[in-house]
Amino acid sequence: MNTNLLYVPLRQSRPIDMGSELREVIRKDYFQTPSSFEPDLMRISNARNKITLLTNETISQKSEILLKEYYVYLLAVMKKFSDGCVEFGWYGTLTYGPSGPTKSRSLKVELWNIVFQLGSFYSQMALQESRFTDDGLKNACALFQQAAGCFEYICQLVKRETDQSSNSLAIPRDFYGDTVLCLKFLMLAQAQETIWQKALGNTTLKDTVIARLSMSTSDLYGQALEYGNRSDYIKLEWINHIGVKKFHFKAAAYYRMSIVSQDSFEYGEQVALLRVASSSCDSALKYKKYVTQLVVEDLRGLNQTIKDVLRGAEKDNDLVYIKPVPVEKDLKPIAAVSMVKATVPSDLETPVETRKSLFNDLLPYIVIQVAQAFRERQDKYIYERFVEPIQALNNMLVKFITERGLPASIDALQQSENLPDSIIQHSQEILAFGGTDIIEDSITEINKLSMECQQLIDHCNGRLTLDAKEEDMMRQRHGREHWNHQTTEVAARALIERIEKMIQYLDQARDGDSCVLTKYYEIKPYLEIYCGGYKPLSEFIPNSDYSKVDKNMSNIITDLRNAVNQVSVLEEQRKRFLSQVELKAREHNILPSVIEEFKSKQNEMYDENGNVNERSFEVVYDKHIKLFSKEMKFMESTKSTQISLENDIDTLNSRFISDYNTRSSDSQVKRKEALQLLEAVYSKYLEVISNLSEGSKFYNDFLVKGNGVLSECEDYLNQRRLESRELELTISKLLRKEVEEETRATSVGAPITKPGIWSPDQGIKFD
Amino acid sequence: MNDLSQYLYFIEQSHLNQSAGRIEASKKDAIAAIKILNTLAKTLAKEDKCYNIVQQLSRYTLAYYDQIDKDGLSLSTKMEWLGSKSYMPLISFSSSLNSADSKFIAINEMYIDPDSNLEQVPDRLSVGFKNVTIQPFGSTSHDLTDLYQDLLANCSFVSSVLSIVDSQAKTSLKLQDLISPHGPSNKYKIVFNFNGARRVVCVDSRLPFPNVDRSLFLSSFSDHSLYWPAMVEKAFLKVMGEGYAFSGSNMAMDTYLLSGWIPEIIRIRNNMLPPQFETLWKLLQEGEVLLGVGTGKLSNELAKQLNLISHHDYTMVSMNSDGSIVLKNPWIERENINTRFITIDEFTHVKSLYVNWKNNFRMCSKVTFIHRGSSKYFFENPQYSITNKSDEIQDVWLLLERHLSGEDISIRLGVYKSENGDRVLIPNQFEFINASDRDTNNRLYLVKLKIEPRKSYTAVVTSSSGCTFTLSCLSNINTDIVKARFANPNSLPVQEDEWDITNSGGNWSFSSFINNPQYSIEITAESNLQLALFSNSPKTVVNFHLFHSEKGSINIPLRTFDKKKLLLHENYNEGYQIYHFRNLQPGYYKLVLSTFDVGVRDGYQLLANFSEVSSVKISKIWNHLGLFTEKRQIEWSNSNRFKLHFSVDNFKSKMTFHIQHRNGANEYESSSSYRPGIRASIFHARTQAPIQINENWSESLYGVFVDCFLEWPGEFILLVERFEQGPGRCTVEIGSSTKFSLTT
Repeated sequence: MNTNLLYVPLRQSRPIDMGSELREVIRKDYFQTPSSFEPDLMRISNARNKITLLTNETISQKSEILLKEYYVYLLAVMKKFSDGCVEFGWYGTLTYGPSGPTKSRSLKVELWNIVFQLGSFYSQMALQESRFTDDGLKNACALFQQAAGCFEYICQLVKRETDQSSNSLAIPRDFYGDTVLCLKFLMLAQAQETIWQKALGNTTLKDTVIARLSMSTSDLYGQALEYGNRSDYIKLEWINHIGVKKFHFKAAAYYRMSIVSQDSFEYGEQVALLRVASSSCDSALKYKKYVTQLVVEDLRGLNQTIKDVLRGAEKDNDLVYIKPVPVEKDLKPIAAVSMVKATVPSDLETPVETRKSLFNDLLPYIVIQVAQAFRERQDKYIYERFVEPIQALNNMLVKFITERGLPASIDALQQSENLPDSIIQHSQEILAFGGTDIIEDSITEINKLSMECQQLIDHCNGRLTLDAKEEDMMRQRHGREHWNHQTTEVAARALIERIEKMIQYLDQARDGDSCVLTKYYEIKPYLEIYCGGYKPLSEFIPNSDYSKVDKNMSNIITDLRNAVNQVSVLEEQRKRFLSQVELKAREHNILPSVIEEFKSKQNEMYDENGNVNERSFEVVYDKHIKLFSKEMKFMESTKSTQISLENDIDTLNSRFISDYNTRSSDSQVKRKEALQLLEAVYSKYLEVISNLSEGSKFYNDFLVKGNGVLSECEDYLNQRRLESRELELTISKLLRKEVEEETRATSVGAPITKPGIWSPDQGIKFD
Repeated sequence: MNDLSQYLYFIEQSHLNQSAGRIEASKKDAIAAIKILNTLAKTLAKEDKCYNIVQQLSRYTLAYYDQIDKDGLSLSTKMEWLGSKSYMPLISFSSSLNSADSKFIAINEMYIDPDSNLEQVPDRLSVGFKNVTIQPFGSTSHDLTDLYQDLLANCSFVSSVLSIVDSQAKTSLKLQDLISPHGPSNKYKIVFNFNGARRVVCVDSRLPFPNVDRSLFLSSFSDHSLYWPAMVEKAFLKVMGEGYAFSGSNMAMDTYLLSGWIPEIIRIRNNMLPPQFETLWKLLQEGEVLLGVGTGKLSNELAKQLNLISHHDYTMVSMNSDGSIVLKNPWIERENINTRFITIDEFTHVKSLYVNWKNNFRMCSKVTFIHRGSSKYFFENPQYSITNKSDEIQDVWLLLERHLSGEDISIRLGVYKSENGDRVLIPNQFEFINASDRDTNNRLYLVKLKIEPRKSYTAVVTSSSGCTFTLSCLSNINTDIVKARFANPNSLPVQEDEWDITNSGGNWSFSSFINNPQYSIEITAESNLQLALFSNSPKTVVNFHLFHSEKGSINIPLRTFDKKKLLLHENYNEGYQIYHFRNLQPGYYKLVLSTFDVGVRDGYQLLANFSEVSSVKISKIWNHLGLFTEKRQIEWSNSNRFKLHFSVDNFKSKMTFHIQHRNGANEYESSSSYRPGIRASIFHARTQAPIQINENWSESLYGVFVDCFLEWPGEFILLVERFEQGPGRCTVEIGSSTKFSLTT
């Protein structure tokens, strides 16, 4: 390999089974199991292993394929996994020995390392090119520029990272600007040097052009030197090499310009230019320590030439031409011409995916969690927007009818015997719902739930009591002067307050329960009649005398009955509506929409740390819930239907009351009273059912929230225990120190136990 | 027996044998029938009017014979023949000749109906059966409209007869067409619609005459010699199975039996005629429907006041301008015709409106099947699907007929708007189209549907007892009735097992959740999978959870409830849980079946069907830690560690330890119970060399599991530690692939 130029050595990585690391991550944090992604995991493991095995000066075109393949895989992994999912370790190789390893839990840093490796690869490939052919030089130049491009790309990526205000990523120090920029300019300088070398072979090129190319090479080395000096990672050999090169090319540039001056008979200028070239050689020679022989010999050759030419030129000018020799600052500066630029390999910025992307179907658990949360939100939406309001509307309607004694008042008049249809319907409804058994089961269930809530509170209190007991014990053991841990009352104040709130809520709920119970026991005997079927109902409702009502009254009753019948039509409509809503909700599972959204827009859904932003799914829910807009319209219409129906019934009932002057017979009054009582019982029954359902919902919600408090209590207890152990350890160290000091003062030495070995016969160590 | 009646006997026997799969016997009967025809053809002159009949029968018989062994009979057709052997289906030999024709009756031959049921008569009534001669036949409309019932409680039948004869001019229905011959005979054949077909009922010419001056059969008060309607009535009573001790039916059912017009019973609710009554009335005038009403229960006093009879059917005669309706009473006591017509203007005591619709549908498909009776699981009920293959809404009527069985059976036809006509697994799986309909003990059940374009529906038949049914689908487009199938074409064997004391672990908030019955499911190709779990008791609250799993742990029971690997999180339901997983990816899954509460004892059935052939395998996971197992309980007694010594005699032992904390006497803990952090490690007892060290504390509700592989025999120590000293006890379950013993 040509030793006149430098290549950037490959960084070294700690071997890691990336597939196995990711397998564990999938197992823990993803919806599916790792076995579904075995081929992908194997592929990434192999790719990572192969790039770890690359060594300096043995690289080939295949190495580039391997690096780029892993690069593409990494990008795929970054799309699906959080940035900190795997820990990587890399050694820096710019210093004398390997530096590091720098451990980093970041896929981004891993990616930067791969870009670095690519930079190194290009620099090494450039050195493999022939320095004696035009093509070799041309290829080498392009490769150096690509190497520079890689380092430039690292700078961009690092800058992008540091520009983010929320950035919490620990950037490895050798990726900071100075080191990477030094490498970038070194590569650019070497690319320029290659152009310069190619120019030398072209005999038609003017010295001016060569001088300007040389000057640019010097400038680029100069920039590399400047950054290199600032970096802790560029070793002295490299600094000196770059320093030699910087001044070498400056000297060469001035030397070339001196030839131009001589050719144009400007002998004074010639001398001045040669003096600058000569002093540049002197400056270069100051850097020669640790620099390779070839570079130093080149310099010495140049220095000798310049010195010889300068000596002759000064003599000629002093004796023959006697031209004034300008000082360096008065010399016209040599305009540097840079023919190179950092070329970021296009497939780094926009990689071409040749194979099926890795982990295509992998779903982060958050996607499922979002779907689950949306489903719960939808259930709540349906309950609050449809079920609850319909129940309330129905209850209001039944109450409205019952308060007006309907349909009992017209039933008693029209139907002197048998069961009126409304009573049969109520009886069927109560029976279909489970009769008194279901109410009593619900009451038992609610009592059970209430007890579970009480147990939950007891458990919460239990955790705090445990903490208090342990605190007391430690305080006793270590004495108040040493044990300065906060008391439970102070440390758990917020939790204690929350538990007290829970107790208050529970007490209120129990009061509510006993009201419902009273209400139920009031109507229970009548509900039993309802549940008994035809016989007990017809025994409870006495027959009355039949009396034919006059035509006018019959018409009023017909109108009123028509209106009252609309109540059951409306209720039936609502019942059907609710069952359709329930089915619609079940049929339209939101999970597929969430998954689809994730698959189609997953690039936009990850935040800068590679985590899925759950808020980005809101649009799916928004769209999904619009499915129920037709149902929302029904809610409005059914409400307004109810209002107008109630008005109609009110008007008709007033007419009925005012026009019905005939005195009812005793039997008719009795029948009417029985019917009205049963209607009132039905209305109360609905209230009880609704109260029980609310009660059950309350306790279930209480349990969910209460479990959250319990979990906080558990966390609190664990934290307190850890703190206690820490404090106990500090106290025992303090005491041991005191004892040791005392012992040292009194004895020669004491046996020391060796820490770190754990045997079943020893106590558990927590240090 | 004349030759043609003998022919008919053989041809009917042949049909029966063919339906029963006795092909050779069927052919033999058909050949016997053909021989009779051959003999007749030889003896009859071509000019003889019977010659033409023999020709028609020969054509039919030869065509029939050719298809006997072709297995072209549908199950429904077979059921029609086999279901009611006493009442043969009507055979149409040609457009003008059927098996009820008088030509097949040996008029002069002595015939005594062997059905003794017909001799049943009302209690306390002395009755003698006498032959009557129907001569002249007599069928003037006047005489027929004067038909009435007297002693026999068959108001519904008589009302049906009256509704048919009263509308004869508009409907072209002719009652006399049901009976043959139209003259004196010892045997009469009557054609009725029942048991899924038009069937022929034979009766002899005897009628019952009580020893009082009353009539026990249908008579006309304008023509006392009009006997043939009584023969039709007799056939009806024979079919009903109670003879002259008949207890009643309803008019819509009886009209269907007589006319085949589609019956609908509209319950009159809230004392008002239904809103569609005006339309129905118009259709009655146009001869498109037949109408009648039935009263509810009335006390004698009220019945007298209202001039109505309790539980009685009436035909509707006319409507007055004031909205009142004139009813015709089928019953007349002692020919007192003053009670024949009643006008009513309130409908409080009318309970049913009977409608029989003329069948104007262009297509009819039907299926006959056996219902095994009250099913344990809803999905086991017979289910049939229909699909509207057109782009327009279609009127489709489904008519379910329960075949006569003499039992009081409660039936229901539920129609669901299902996906692709799928089998309905639970009642609230799909939109229930006729949810407001109720069970009925009527024999016929009509559901009128408007089916949406390109949509499918599933009809589910429920029945309180085993019985044969015929379901007919009437429509204007080709709408086949297809047996409803599961959502996916491939089914796994039904897994039937139970939750018992050892595996009823309750819901996932209990530590015992992992003890519940579990199954491993392997999916080899992307597939839809429908799972359905049913508990034997409809009250048991059940659920299932499907988790992603790994190949390596496929036979190992669940060790934790990992929400992240859970494919669905549905609520627990009473009696069932179903879910249809779409596009389930290839891989391994674990299914846990749980009841909500711990310690429930109940059986279950697990159904699974899937879309891709051979893509799903299911196997039960046996919930044992190993081949050899032991269990120990150790009191913590305020310590934070204990050691358990065990020895293994064999090489290469695979061992699993399951360690759980218990606060009290319960064998399980709930998620809110206190749990200390626990860890467990294994050491060699002699060398104290660590074999498996676990440094992390676990507070898992489901306990700590430690797996280890012991290469050599020897004595070992299981060290169990808890984070802090405390009370309670610790249960350690040990499973091993080889024999082991606990030494402490």
